Amino acid sequence: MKKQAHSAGGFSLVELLIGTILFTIITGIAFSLLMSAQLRYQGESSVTQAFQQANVALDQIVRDVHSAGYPPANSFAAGIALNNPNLVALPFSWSPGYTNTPPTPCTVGVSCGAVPGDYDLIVETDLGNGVQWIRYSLQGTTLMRGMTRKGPGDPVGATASSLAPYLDSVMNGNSSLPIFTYTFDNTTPPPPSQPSFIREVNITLIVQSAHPDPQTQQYRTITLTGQAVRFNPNQ
Amino acid sequence: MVIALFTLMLISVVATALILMAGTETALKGNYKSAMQSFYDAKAGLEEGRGRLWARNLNSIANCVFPGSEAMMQVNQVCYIVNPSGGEVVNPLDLSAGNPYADVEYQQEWGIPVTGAAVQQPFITSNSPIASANIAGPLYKWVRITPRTEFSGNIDVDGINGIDNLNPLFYDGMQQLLSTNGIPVPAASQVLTITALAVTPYGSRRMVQYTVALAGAAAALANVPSALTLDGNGVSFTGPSAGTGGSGNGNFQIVGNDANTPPGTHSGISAIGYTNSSDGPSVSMAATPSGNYLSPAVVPNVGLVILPPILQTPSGLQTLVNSITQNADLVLSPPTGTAVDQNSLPSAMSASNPMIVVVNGDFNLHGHGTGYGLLLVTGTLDYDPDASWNGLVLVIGQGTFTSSRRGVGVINGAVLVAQTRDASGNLLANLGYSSFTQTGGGNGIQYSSSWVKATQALMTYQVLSFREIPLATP
Repeated sequence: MKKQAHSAGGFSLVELLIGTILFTIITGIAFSLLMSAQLRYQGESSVTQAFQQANVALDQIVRDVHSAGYPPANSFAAGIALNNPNLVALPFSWSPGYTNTPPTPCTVGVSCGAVPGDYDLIVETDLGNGVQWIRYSLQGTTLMRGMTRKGPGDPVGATASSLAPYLDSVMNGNSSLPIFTYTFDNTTPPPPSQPSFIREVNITLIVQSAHPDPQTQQYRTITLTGQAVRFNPNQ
Repeated sequence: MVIALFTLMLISVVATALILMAGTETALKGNYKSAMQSFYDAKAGLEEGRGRLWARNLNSIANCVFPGSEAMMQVNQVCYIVNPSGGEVVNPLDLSAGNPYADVEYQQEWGIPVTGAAVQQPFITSNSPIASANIAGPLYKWVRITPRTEFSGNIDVDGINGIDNLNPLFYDGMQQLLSTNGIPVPAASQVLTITALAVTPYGSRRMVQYTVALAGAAAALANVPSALTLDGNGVSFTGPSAGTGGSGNGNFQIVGNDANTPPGTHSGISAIGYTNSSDGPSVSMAATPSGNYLSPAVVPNVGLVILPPILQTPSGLQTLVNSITQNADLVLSPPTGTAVDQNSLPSAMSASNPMIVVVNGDFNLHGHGTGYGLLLVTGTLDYDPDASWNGLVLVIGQGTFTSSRRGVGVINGAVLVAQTRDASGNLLANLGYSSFTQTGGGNGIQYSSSWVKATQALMTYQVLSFREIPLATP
């Protein structure tokens, strides 16, 4: 009896070679896609993290400005507020001239110096334990935040030691774009551009991701803007 | 087959990673949006509470805050406005841990749980949702209205005897004052605290708080001391000489007897009041014939009066002007050197709908019509006594009231004249020499307590302070 040849018993060498090559190509493409997605994910994660941190910082600044000036002078009998200025929250501190008796108001952007300024702001409010100075100050690329009890001294000096890093990689200084700009009361006639008449603080934060984009090797930046209204009335 | 499955798996991994990444970012932005939404929802709650305190609001809650004829809200009293959505129950008095809307903050302010307070029930329902338009309205859950004490505000208002928790605080337009022994502070309105909690469907929670009081003008002007008050130093008064009455002209009088009390009860105030005693002789001498200036027997026809602090200084009066302007139905600002007249008054103004009109400049009250409400003129008021006004007329600024024409009109209510600014518009350090001149005739001024009260009711509650109350996430 003649044994019948079996032609479907396996792959030929050529078939195996072609299969292997195809497998390698497809796998390579897939891994390439995966790698690309992974790099993109890392880049986006870094940006998202920066966004989240900036968001938290922006929200806190907005909250502080909302309550700036609490409690106002009208919360006290006239003589009390006059004789105990530390019981009363002005909406915003300034320097120089704050320690004069009575304090000499400065003009924002002209004679106020750094505070309140493009990169430095001191809010006065009572968070539950007396009036506090809450300061935001950009130092290099770090936005610092500090809080100390309002006292008789200069607010800039008094808050300096309480400042701690609050938000990293803030690039406003490098871009010469102010973090804080100010809108004053909309009255007729317009009030002087003094800290007591600041009604809105417009906040712009340019934040750089902590790591460069793995694909482009460039640091990515995001810009957040916010508008904080002071709700307490003028003193 | 194996290759296809393997490829599909890899692509699925990539897609999942991309979806997760997008989802995280969306969630972050959603959280921020939710937090901001809850803040503005809570703020909307404050505004509803403030608006509904106003007695003229169609949905006023004044009956809850000031039940009966009580002059002030008692310290243990609480009113709630609740705003449930989607059939939920909002009960701030349920202090169990499972209630997301429990009012545990009350205890922080008052030292006792809210269940120990006198809470009016059933709660007032919010009117912010508009069912007919299918508008849900802001998502605040409740608004709480309480009086304010030193203890609840954690503020020693008067610096005396520490923090007081028995006596409500009052506001006179410039400062807060502590009442004593349950007696309201004269010429001041009670300070109230409005607190609102908002919770969004995403779980963001914010609590914010106002302190409010009736606008300073309402309290300061509630008890005007004279039908015509000349506020300042070196004031001048000129009335019509005898015999100007007659055909086509009224019988000029300034009458401090209250037009709204029964005849014979002799209730009222001085006809003319001045605030600096050295002005007494000149004003008294000008107020002739004496029969034109009448007041109850126990009150001098022309006499020295003491005004509330806000009316005693240019800065105080300017605060009053600002307060009135914020509440005005109409603010007119004629160019310098020109005047607006009665034709600019709102046509909707009527006896049943008095209004607040502020003129930042000169105003000619001419014609034969009648105005109703509060008229504030910061320049010169030129009055043709063919016209009438029912309510309060304030001439604060240049402090000049002039009238040289004849007529039969009358001012029912009261008039106050004060010079707070110099000719250049600069605020004076001390009150100047306001002047009232009415030489032609007319029927003069008739004091009316009901018209004075009617103008007081036009004033809304003003915000004295705002703060956000930090909340722990439940």
